[in-house]
Amino acid sequence: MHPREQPPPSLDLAKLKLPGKPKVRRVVIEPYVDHTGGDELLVWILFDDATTDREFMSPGVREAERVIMDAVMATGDARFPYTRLLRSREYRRRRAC
Amino acid sequence: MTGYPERLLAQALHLAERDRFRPEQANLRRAVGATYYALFHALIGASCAELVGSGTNQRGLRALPARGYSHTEMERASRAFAQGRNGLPHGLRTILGESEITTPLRDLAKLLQLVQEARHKADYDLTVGWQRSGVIARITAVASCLEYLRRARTANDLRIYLVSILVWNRISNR
Repeated sequence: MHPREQPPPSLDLAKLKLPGKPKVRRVVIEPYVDHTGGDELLVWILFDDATTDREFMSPGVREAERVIMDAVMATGDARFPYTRLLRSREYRRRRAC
Repeated sequence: MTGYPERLLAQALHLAERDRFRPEQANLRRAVGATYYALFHALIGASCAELVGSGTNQRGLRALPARGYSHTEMERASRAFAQGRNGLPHGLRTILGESEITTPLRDLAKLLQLVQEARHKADYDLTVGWQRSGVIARITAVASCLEYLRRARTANDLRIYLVSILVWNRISNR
């Protein structure tokens, strides 16, 4: 099967040791072709709408990203998980466009 | 904050925070670019210091290998280090001994891939809109990595990584 046709892995957020703040509301994983043409994954890490810009500079965001990236890599999927960090409403707005 | 990478990061933060309400996409895109190049140049500086020495009398010599780094080669090396010890070729595992790749170095290796991809998107893909939240998160992450590079310069795994990003294409199959 071509890597692009492989279903992306799924994560159970309840089983991950995510920091309490900022709150991760949802993770969306989809196939992705990166700038080198490689078949990889795109991982949308969606934080609570109340997350402030300052909180996006906090260690909690990096910790959440680390936990989620490591969890994706631990599924055995060889595709690299490129992450996008944003608020849930920003993601919804993007999708609506 | 005095070095060139730190100045690039300060510029990135300035651009990302410049527009109070609705950030200009042009400012966010340039912020993403400056963020990537802050990490890129910090790695090259640390790598050259590792190879040549960090003394002021070696400044000229350090400039010699500095032009020999390639974005692709650095990305490939980072991809391997991000996977931890098992992602490395046999020769590097031998040099590493029994130790694992530490979490801060794996974070750095992953971040290099993330910001390189983001830089490419920001410069060439105008269909993708950028949010301030994601951009400042990346700026902060790169700032942490710059701090790690200063703090852990003598760590064995970091030293191996810093050499590998210059010679990866020649050593990755050994």
